[in-house]
Amino acid sequence: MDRNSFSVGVDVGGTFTDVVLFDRAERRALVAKVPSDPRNQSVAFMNALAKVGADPGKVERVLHGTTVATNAILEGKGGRVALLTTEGFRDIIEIGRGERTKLYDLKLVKPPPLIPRPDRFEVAERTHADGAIGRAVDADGLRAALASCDPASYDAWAVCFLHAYANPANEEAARDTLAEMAGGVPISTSSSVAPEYREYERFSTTVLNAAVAPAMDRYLGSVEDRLSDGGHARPMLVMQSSGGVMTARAARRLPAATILSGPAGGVAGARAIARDAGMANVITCDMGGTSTDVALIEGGEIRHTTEGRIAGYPTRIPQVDIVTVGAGGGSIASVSGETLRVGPESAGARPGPACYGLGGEAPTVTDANLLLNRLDAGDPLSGEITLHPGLAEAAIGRLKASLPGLDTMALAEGIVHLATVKMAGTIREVSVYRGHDPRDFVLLAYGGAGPMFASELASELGMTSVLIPPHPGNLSALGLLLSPLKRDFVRTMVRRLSDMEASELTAVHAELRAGGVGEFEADRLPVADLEFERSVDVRYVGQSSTLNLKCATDSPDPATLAAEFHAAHEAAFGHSDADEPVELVNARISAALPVDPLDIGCEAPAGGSATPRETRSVRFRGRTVDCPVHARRHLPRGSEIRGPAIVGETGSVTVVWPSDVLRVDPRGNLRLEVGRK
Amino acid sequence: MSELDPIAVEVVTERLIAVVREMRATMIRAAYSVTITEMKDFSCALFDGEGRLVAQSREDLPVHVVPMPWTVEAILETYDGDVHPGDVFLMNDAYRGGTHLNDVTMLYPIFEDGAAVFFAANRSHWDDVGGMAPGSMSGLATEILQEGVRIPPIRIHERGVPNRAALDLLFNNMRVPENRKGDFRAMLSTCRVAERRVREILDRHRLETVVACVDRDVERTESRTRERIRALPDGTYHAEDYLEFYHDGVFDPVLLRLALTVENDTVRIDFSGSSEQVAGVVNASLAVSAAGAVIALKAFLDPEDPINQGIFAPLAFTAAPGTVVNATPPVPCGAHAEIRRRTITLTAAALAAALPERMAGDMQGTSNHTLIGGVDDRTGRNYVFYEVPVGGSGGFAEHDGSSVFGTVDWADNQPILPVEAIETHFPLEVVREEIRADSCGHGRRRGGLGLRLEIRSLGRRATFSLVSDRAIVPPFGVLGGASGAPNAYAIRSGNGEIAALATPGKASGVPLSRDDVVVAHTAGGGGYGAPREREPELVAADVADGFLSVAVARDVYGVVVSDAGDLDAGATETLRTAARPDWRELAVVGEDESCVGDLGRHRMFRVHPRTAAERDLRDDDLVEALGDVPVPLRGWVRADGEMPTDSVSLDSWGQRQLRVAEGSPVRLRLLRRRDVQDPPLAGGPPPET
Repeated sequence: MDRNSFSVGVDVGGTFTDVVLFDRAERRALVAKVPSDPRNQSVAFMNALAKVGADPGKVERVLHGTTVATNAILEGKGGRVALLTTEGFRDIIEIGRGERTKLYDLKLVKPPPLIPRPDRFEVAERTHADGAIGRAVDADGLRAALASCDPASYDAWAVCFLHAYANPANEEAARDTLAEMAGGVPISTSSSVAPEYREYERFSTTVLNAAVAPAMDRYLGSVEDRLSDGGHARPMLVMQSSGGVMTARAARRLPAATILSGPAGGVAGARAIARDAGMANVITCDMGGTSTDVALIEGGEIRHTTEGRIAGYPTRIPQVDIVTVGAGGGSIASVSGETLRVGPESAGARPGPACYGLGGEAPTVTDANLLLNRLDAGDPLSGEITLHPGLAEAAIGRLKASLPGLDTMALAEGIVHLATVKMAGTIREVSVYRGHDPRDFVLLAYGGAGPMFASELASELGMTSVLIPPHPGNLSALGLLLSPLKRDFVRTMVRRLSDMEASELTAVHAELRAGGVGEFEADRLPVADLEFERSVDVRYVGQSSTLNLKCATDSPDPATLAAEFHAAHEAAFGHSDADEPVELVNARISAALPVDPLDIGCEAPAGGSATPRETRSVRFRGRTVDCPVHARRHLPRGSEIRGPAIVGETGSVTVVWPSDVLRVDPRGNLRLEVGRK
Repeated sequence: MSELDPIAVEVVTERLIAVVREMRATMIRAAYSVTITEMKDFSCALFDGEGRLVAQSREDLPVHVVPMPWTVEAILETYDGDVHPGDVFLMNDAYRGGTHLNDVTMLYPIFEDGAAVFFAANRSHWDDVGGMAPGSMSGLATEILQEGVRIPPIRIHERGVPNRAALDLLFNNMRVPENRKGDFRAMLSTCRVAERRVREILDRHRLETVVACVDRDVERTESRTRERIRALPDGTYHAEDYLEFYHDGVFDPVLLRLALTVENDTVRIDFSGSSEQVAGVVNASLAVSAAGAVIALKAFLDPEDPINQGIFAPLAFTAAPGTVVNATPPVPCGAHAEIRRRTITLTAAALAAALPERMAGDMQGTSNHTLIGGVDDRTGRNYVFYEVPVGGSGGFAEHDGSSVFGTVDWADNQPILPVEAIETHFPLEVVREEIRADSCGHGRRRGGLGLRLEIRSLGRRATFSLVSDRAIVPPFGVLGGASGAPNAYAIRSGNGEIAALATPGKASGVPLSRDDVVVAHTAGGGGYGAPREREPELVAADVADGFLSVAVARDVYGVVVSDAGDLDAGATETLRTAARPDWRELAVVGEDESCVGDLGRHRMFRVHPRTAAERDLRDDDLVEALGDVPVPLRGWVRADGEMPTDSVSLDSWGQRQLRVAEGSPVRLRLLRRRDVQDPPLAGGPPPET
């Protein structure tokens, strides 16, 4: 293989590690899966490279989606972290906001604090809301405050002061003194990890970052060592929750930015495919075994948010605005009283649905799909798992006793339908949060189970257009190759727009931009090609939520911003008031090195007609119909199929409903025109 | 597939719930006030054409939603046969299905084929609705006019046309009207979203199908509720507790009583014996009192699903008008949250006799409505700061209670505001926000700990108001567990002097000078089981965390621990063996009536003076009596030479509640002793600051 013509993306998932090797010269993507090794992700990583024959020394770019940080948090296996915080506030991370996650439960308990109380230390200091320093950090005072501990005995430190987003000086001073005391122990400051207001959320993010820093450092170190042993001399790139990649060096300092590394890769891939297909407004739906991730692409851009949550703890780092529903192929159907439920319990990957024959007895959505014949009993799942219709039928049959009057098939169809309705409820909520009507969007479905549900889900939402990309089971890995190098920078400054000069925004944006350039320079990356995107978060004075407005220049006119805000508020919520004062909350800059668009191509033949490989009886809305079954790799580009039909491929199945029309576009995407069910 | 199969019922139900979720999402994004966007003090729901509650989301607050059927009934009664497309109704009347005046409810009819087939409802807390003090809630109000504008069911939009006169009148009588207008518009947005989505559902299903599905959903909730009730032993269960009321500055607690009768598949709840209503905030409508009972029944019997009208059918409520649980004009109703919490725990206490394993220690029993208002010197504008600092939840068989945690009648609302939001929006500085050590109700499983919050006023002048409770009579422990520490507020002046409130738990417009600090200590949750049965390692861990002091570990838990939390197992063993119980066993002597009071009523435990002296009991000691049920009975000691020695007086209610008979033993435990200088009954130390 020739140097500089290959890129490789490796995405580690719970069950499989996906790899895509792209040959730019040949415009060919080679896709493969290897089993993941949860104890040592780097083994699967190197196995994946080997499986596609990628020689580290000859690959131009290595891109990586990792779950090291995510798993460390979910499994409570982060490092031992100490907290240094403002005097009087060491319990903020335990107090939280006091909300309950479940109704009517006398026995509900809070998630445990991220750091036990004896490891939380206080220092007398104060920064005010406007950034003024009320009391500076006194180095001797800090040493005295930490006299009772050995700072070097912790795996990491989090320094979290009130209002540090408005002025990081006190945090930085404390960090410097602490660094002298703690030796090489990594220190995360809240002003560098998540410089936004709301202390609990910012502190939580910072502590999570500190907790996973040691594991991330070890892991990335080991992978980079293996790569450089193989002759790879360039920095490895790691997928961030925001849908851009960053260097491994940056990821070691900001591991909390990788919490959504895998799902964000999928959305980044979806965006590239949607752009390529000329679609500006897309809802992505990544459905796997246990959950479904939904995100919004608007005007060709991924919607972002800083409001995340993991294991019950909030995070405030820019991320793709993904909402996860606890519904997937593995969701368990049950009857309580006379009520049929689907989820939230899941059979997971082990034992999995009853039809896997791995010991699972609970009926799942996948079992229902198998009974309806939408899944092929003769075709092992992902080539690995043999399906047993008898076990599925028995499992669903057991529910029948509690729901008289329904036969097994009607029940199976009901389970799939109910799972779809629940998912649709979440999608609708996601879109309305942003003031959008899902009917103006295309549904882009991927993940193992996404294409199976896509048509029914679209109907439920009133959407008429669905796109299934090539390799829908591997889109997260593919997305790695299609993502820009990107870093986000933010500064909170709460100011009324009417009191502001354009020059103030110019100054802040310039400062943020300089910081961005510095970050890329430190990674020895070409800063001349950097593209900056500026935006501001704005609201009515008195409101708490903000709307994000893009700025065309570094110096947007405050009056123009106010006018844009009134219009955006009207569009989102149906009302606005031009007489109400408007205030700025955050200035943001996102710096990106764009990637060349890749023509990832596909296996679809260039011409010919679609010939089904067999015909199967499949049930749709109570009627069983003869349904042609196609192999996707034999569906020619430009061909058209009228539903009903089933299109199978490795790792996924697309269901075409009786009134749908499916076309294969020039890129090999499946485009569904969804009819009324 | 025929339309009314079980699947169709699920699908329609799920779609209706999705409508409410979307209303909720819309409100959070569009509202103005911090109370709604940060604290999320609002709820949405859908009612059908007959005014039956058919959908809430899995996030909306039970405190808002459960009383809503009464609200909707009041509006529909007023406008019977006179509801038109484009109409919007508004109300907050605390006597007619409202809660407190700050909770304003909007009802919005959705029409199909000329009939209102659904109603979208939104109940939101408005930060100020006028009245005597900023924030409208005022602990020492004596008539409802001091709590703000009382809005009877009014038609605020008529056939699509806003009633300007009414709107202007309302907003002119409220502080910070621009926020009120913004929140009003946001409420309207949520109803319009609901209308759009319901219409989409009606495009997919015929109206008759939707109605049939709703009927089915309500029916099955009813039958499930009946089934769970049938599993309870028939019988009548009693419980009583207090709300804290001051009459001319004198503590004069009012009595709340509840008799819960299980008969076959029905539950009757009778509030007879509760105090007459009083000229203070501790009154509420039957909607609020009954809602508390429904929330507790739901938690005990059927916690899984969101609520709908079906749960109400097997339940009946009785309360005489003009009592604290069924108030009539003109008394204030500001402590609705406190009454609701009390009827929740009274219902739970009654059920605990039948289902002790489902019981938890008591919660803090109040919302601690904390209000600071005045003029922001920086902007010249009025401001109203409102926060509801929470305390600990009760311990239960499987786990300790959680510290600083929303109570069971709340949901995803966030009672703890960010310090940085407070300091950005208001001329206030938060000096300290931490967990309050030793405040939990001690027990084998201890309650959660309360909060210690200090807020400094930076403006030249401001006022502080408070509606709280459980400031004197603490949250109870169960099965021998100890009480949580009571809620305690004080003002620390700029020179460091601390003044406890003259009327603990209640304040109206207390002036604050620059640099005065409001010190809030919230209650701990009640303990579960005897503290001396707690594993010594857990006590040592609490000491190491600084949640328990060494002294409490030793004196209450019988555990010897060093300051650093190192356990001395040998010394603990010795101490626990030698320990004497902290209660006094006395024999029950019956009497006709144990309760006395001026405007309120409270229970007296009469004991012979010699017995009192022997057992270290003094006049006006607040004590609790433990009988044969998990929950104790509270009252005050009175030495009485007429009593036989070694015995305590207990009327028939007390005997029925504790399930003890004449001559059988009860155990008395001291909760709070009055200092000489304290007013009668209301003694106790100011907060430990």
